[in-house]
Amino acid sequence: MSGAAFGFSLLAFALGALAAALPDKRISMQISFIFSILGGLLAVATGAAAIYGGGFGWSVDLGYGIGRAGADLDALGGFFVLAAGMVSVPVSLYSLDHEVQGSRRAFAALYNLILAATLLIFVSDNAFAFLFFWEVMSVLFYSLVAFEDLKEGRMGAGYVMSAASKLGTALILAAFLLVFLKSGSFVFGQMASTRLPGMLASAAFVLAFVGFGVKAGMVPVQLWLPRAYPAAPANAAALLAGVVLNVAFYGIARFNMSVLGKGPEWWGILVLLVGAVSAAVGILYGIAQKDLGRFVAYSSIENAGIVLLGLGASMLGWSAGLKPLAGLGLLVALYHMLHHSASKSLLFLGVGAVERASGTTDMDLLGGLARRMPLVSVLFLVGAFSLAGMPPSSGFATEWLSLETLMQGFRLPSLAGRIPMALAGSLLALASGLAILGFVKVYGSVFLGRPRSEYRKDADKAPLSSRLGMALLALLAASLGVLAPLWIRLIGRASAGLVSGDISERMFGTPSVVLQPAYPNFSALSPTLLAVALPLLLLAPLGIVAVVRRSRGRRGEVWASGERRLGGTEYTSRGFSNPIRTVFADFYLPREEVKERIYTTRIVPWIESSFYEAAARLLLWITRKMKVIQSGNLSAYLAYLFAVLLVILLYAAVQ
Amino acid sequence: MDEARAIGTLEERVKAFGRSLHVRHVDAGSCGACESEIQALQNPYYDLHRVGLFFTPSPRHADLLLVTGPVTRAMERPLRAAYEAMPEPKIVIAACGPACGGGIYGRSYATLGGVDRVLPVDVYVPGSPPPPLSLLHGILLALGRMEQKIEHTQHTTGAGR
Repeated sequence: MSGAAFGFSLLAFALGALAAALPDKRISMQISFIFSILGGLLAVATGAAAIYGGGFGWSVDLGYGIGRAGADLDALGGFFVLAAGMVSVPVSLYSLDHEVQGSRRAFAALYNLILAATLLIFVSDNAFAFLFFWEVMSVLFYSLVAFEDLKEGRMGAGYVMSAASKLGTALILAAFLLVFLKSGSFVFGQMASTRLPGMLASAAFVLAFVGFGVKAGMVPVQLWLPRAYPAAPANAAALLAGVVLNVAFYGIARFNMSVLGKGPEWWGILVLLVGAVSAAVGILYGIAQKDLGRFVAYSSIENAGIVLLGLGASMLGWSAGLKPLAGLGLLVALYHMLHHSASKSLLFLGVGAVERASGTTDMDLLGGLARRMPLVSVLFLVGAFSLAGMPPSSGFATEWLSLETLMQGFRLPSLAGRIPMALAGSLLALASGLAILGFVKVYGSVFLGRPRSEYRKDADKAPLSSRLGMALLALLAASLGVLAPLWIRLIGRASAGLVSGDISERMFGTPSVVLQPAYPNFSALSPTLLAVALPLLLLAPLGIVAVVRRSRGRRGEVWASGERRLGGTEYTSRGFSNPIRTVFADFYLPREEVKERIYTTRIVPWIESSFYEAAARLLLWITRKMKVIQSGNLSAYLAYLFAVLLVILLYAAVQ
Repeated sequence: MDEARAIGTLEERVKAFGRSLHVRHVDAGSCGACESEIQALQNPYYDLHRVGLFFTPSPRHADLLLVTGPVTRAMERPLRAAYEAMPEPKIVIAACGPACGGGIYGRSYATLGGVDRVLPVDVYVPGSPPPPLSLLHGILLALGRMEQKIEHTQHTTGAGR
């Protein structure tokens, strides 16, 4: 069942890619996106079938020591396929209208191909096949980022992205080869059944973690992320951030957890601390941005950090033998990932709508869009609410569960595990607080207030299909919070095979709409009931006002010191975030300079390039040292060759 | 813009204020002399805070609009806007000779000749400039906390002859 659905899904994407070549450009692209909707729906069916009915597996022997290459979909992979399908369908729907499609028909083909490549990663049973599709996905990722010809900065963004991606792939390959040394097979199942000696396993763990982390955008290897997403067309950015990004978490779950198995305590601690730092740093830099797209991209780093927090807690609990904590951490991580996929795609589509209306994403030039495009502003608010973790949204449910998971740190036997849990919890609390501030700033300066520039006359006439796509995503994001018990049951079933049994049974209190963090009598909360109670609470003050108010008041002009127009005297996004910039000046290290009596201050994210700069310095240092033997003299080089030949011959003789 | 009209009599409006009042000063083309006198109100000698009076920079917080100058044409609209921006109830005082009726500027191509051509004035404080104590007297008069010193009288030459 799931196998057939999966095959048809791939077929739909392939047909979609081919359809882009049909004669009429507009119609061909529309047919292409209809096929991607179809493929997405089939992917949803595949995922659901794999979680509830069991997956499928088939394989062929490739020979040459690579081993069997197979497609094998288990419940975990099924969950990722489901997530990819659910988020991609509305994004494809959004892309259906010619106005939001990319400038060339190749866009539709690339769009379909990257979806197919992503799905193939989730079913690859063989490390070799996995890496192959991973690279295919990376190349398509690059082409989508660098797609728009006239968009500023997209070339540089594309190059940085592909360079970072190469680094990540190299690290992952190294990790796979380390395991291959021992297992002699590239099939994940056989790799998992061989236990590696401690040092080797740890080396493989760290290499793979950093390699996958590059794609996830974790600190300090996130350099490419804030540049790449804003450079891509909006629907491509939504697809990349919402669907493709998840391969990184799949990689960590599949390789670092499933293949490498239970590890020492410090693996979990490493993941936990990297996640905590990513969450805090991501949102801190996000707040300092004045570009809407960049802010949304930085928020991806924050959320990648939160997912890593869950995974880290899971690994820590696993190594300490705490099955419920291990299961809880994994479940929360997957839940948060799903929430982030839906909300982030929604926001990127919103950014696209804003850009369509105004031609810019500079928050200091926007404003007042709520009146010009009411529907988009409401849908954007749903996404912003969700990502800011405001109740009763999905973000609130997942962030609450993440915090509760980290609070279970006291159950760990060792102090070395407890302290990072507490530290990570406090950094997560900081990050979610700052996220609220960041989204207040974004929504306030883009949608509220008065317009700061001229907008298109038909700003509110966004195409029907694109509005429908955004509405679907908003509905999905809202359902993740309101219907939390259902989703937790699904994720519990999907993640059951990895570290512990189905943990979701332990997460329901009485009545079962109430959630608890796997351990009873610790804390309990119900996002579902909250979604009912909070609107009711809103009714109370409205009722009081309705009863008490005597007059309807008087509407006057906005007071602008007697001027006719506000003329840029409003609170700017920069002004709103300036207190944060001041308080965290020691972190931001702003570059201040006075040139010809003009004072400027810029925030250059030193943390972004620090990792790469250090690596580049090391490389340059080595090459400088190597320069000693590079004389440029031909005879010298011939002598080297001769020496090497001698060494090889000696080695052969000794053997 | 609609014709600005006061709602209710001065006594009715004043009742709401209690013992504290915030004043917004608008310079509608004054020569600058009145401003010096108004500044002097805040010094320790006159110390208008002791009677519960405060200046505020925004009409949104003000109960009383203190207007100086003959109302130049350029200032007509901002003056109306400031009055519109004030919450009800509100009082208007024309402070200085030109504000009361044009003064030496009179009514010309550049000036409207008095605040009452734009806004409903409650109290006129004459003098060019009015000394601080006159200004204080005018404000307290509006609040009903002091008596009016000069009544309107009419003298006709040759009457009773």
